[in-house]
Amino acid sequence: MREATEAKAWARIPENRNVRRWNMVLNVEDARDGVASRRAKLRYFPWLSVRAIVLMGLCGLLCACGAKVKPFQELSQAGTAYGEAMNAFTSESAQITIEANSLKLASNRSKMIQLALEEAKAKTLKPDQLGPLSDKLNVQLNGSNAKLEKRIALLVKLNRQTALLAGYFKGLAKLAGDDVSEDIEASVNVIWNILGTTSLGIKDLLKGQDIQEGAKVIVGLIHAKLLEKELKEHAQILVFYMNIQEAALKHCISGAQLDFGIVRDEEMASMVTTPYVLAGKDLPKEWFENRSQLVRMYVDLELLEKAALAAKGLKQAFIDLSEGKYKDFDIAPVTAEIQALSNLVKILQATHAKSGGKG
Amino acid sequence: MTLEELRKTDGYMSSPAYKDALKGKPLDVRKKANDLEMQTHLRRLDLENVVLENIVASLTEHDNDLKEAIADLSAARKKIRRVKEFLETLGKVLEIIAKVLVVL
Repeated sequence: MREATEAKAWARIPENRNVRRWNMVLNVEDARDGVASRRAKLRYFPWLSVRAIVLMGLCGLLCACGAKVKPFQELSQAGTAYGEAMNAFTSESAQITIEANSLKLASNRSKMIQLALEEAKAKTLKPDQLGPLSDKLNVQLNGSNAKLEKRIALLVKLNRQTALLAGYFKGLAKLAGDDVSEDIEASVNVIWNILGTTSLGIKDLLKGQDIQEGAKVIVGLIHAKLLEKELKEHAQILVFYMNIQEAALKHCISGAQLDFGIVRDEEMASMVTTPYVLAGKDLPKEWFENRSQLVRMYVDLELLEKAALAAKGLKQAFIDLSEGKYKDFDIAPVTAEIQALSNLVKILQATHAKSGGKG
Repeated sequence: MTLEELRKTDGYMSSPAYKDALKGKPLDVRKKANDLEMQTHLRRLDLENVVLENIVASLTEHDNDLKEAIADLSAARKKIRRVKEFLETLGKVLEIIAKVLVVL
């Protein structure tokens, strides 16, 4: 029935006139010979080879689209890794702050007692007459405790905020995942199939392989555009958050650096210098090992600088992708900076293990 | 270097030269130096807490915006799934219609 209708339509067209249908040209004469066999009588004009070129172009575009989704996956992985490294770092920095404070208090206490005893000796007072000293030590200890408790509470809040930021990148990772591409691909395939069954033989024309390639190209484009749109929509708040994170990271690193110095100096004084200068006593057995460890306990300045750049690098990578600057996007330096932050955590953990064991 | 000169240098309190210079000094000088060292340490903790407090306050002020952004990502993911399911259903319906038309 459909063929008969089409045959009538062909009959109305003047002879010797070529009719263009999709990317083929049918000669009216041939068409009149019978619609059922029209495909066998198609005359492929030279420009039909364009189809091959278009197909190659689509393949190229497919590669480009594939490369477009990958940066989003890399960014989301880096963001998640940053969140974990930053949280580990703030926890360790809190620990080393407490240790530095304890060592400082202990050192101060022994100095104060020594000075008070000297004073008592000079003024011929008895040690139990040193009442004001206890009050002063008590004030110092309580004051330090309050400050440290405040610090811990603030760091816990900072960790929550960092976890929230990492949550965004985890969400982005889900949206940039391969399963999303599969869903989009399934949708595009459905559209292709609908077009194939309802229009004039697109499926026959493009064959199965072409459809798949085309679908993949479209999938890549849709997925990348979707991710770009999401990043653009949230760029303002994310950039703001990462700016503050950058400040927080720099602040915590400089604090940890100072505390690290205090721990090292105090331990050097108590474990190495004091036993060494004390006359009339043999050096403890562990003195050699302690000295060796403390001399080697060192944070590379380059590592600190690199770690401090982690938030900044992540922010820049986010901006590049949200603005579609794929050429500028390079995740490798950001990954190295996050790794530096993780290495810093390991150094602080080693310091903590040492002072916890011997301090 | 004298104690006064040493006090003008950065991080003088932890420098060995300063500690050496204090040795043998009168009792009140050493007491004053010890008090100053502890006060500086506690003051540093205070200042760091103030900076941290400002940082956390800034982040907390906008954490609802970030939560919304996370919810948007989740919604976008669900939207894709819904579109896919809708299209699949549509495809099946059209396939049935096409089969019916062929039969007719």
